[in-house]
Amino acid sequence: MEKRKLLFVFLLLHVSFPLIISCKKAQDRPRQDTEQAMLQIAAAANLSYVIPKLVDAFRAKYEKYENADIRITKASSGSLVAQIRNGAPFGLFLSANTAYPQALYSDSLTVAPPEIYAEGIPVMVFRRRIEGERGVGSLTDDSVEKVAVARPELAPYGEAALQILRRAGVLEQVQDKFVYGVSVTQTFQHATAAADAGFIAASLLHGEAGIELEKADMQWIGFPESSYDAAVLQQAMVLLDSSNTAAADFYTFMRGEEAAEIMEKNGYRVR
Amino acid sequence: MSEGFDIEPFLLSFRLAAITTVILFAVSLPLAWKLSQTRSVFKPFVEACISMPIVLPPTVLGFYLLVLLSGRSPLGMFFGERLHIDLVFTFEGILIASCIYSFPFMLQPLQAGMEQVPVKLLEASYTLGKSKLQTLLHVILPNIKPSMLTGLIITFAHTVGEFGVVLMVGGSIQGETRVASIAIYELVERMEYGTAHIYAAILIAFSFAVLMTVYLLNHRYKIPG
Repeated sequence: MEKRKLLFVFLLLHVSFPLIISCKKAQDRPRQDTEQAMLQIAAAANLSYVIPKLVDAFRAKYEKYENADIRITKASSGSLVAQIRNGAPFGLFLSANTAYPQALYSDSLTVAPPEIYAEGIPVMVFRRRIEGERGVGSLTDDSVEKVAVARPELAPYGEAALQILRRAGVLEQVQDKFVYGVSVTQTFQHATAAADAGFIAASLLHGEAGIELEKADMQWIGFPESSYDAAVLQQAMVLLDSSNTAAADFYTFMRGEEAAEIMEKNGYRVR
Repeated sequence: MSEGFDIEPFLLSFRLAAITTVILFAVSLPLAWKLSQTRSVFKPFVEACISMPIVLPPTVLGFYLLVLLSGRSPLGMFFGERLHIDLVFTFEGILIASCIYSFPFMLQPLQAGMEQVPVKLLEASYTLGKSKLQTLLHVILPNIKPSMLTGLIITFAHTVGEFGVVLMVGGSIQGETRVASIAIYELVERMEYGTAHIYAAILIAFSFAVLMTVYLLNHRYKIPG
């Protein structure tokens, strides 16, 4: 019977550990009724590097939010949508595309229609030994074995990459070399760690990600706007909680010039 | 990807899980035996090392494995140039990654089971002139059947459900590394909940059937007493 007990304990540990963790999370969850201003923002993973800068500028602009409790949840837009649909307490959702916010709006889960706050810029990174500066045509070379792209159905940068390759007439030759990430950040990791080239966001050329690219000794090229459909890289936001003034203020801030300037400095386009 | 139902991810998942389980059983059996019998000062060190994969978040472990196995690392280079096997973004790659990730799930139950076998039994076997191998096969294994079963089942189930490591090392390539768990994840991300439910239901039903069969067989063949 000892062995049975052992098996039981083993299984119990396996099952209970995530439970314990999730209980803890539930306790940590901030209550809406606290006196201090409280804002939870759901931000698409591609904003990871720029969002702290936006929050800093927001605090600097509005004195009342200087010490406010502002929390950012960074995840793939798809996961964030699932969380929002199931009652996650976010005041504002900054998506990596326009479709997800539109879907939430259609289901009456938002305060207002989606608004575009930025547009992503695709770039191709590549190892020094391949002639990437020649453009995407270089990817057809035999020396290029693996090309990292984000799954086009999941991540707009993946869709943009397909368009760039299709318009250059090399998609058919290159697509057998694809390795897929579920997000542009994972594609970045695939590209820097193991692939020969990859299609990522210009925002990942900055900050910590930029340092990683340098360490991996990778170069990059950009593309003219005519080589892809810029609309797929538009990023929209939606206000989710009408009673939260901090959320409304951040929403307004995102439409202003300071935010636009920060976005443009960090690899996004604002029209 | 938006075409209808596709059986391929399931076949890949179960192939991956089955091969991982067989490899890990073969590797773990002698190691668990050694660990259960040794009093070496290195034992806790080895045990701790083998448990490490559970501590790291799967995608992070996957990232390190990707770096370790890629063609740019010495190990990846050796496999690529000498053996012509690519260890990243291939089935072989996710197989190695799964073996590392699921190792403790096979080893720990086996070792725990072996440590429970009374020393008297082993001594009796040795006294009767049986070799260590004979003792292992005819005395130990029949005595640790429940632990063995636990190891096999948890390793199999764990590999089927694995996702983070496989996605990072495998790159979600259709017919090669896009296993069922990844296919389901991608469907959920795309908000195709309907199809995701079907995939998830099939995965659960099939896994349940496999595990149930194993438990039933175990029950039927259990040696009384």
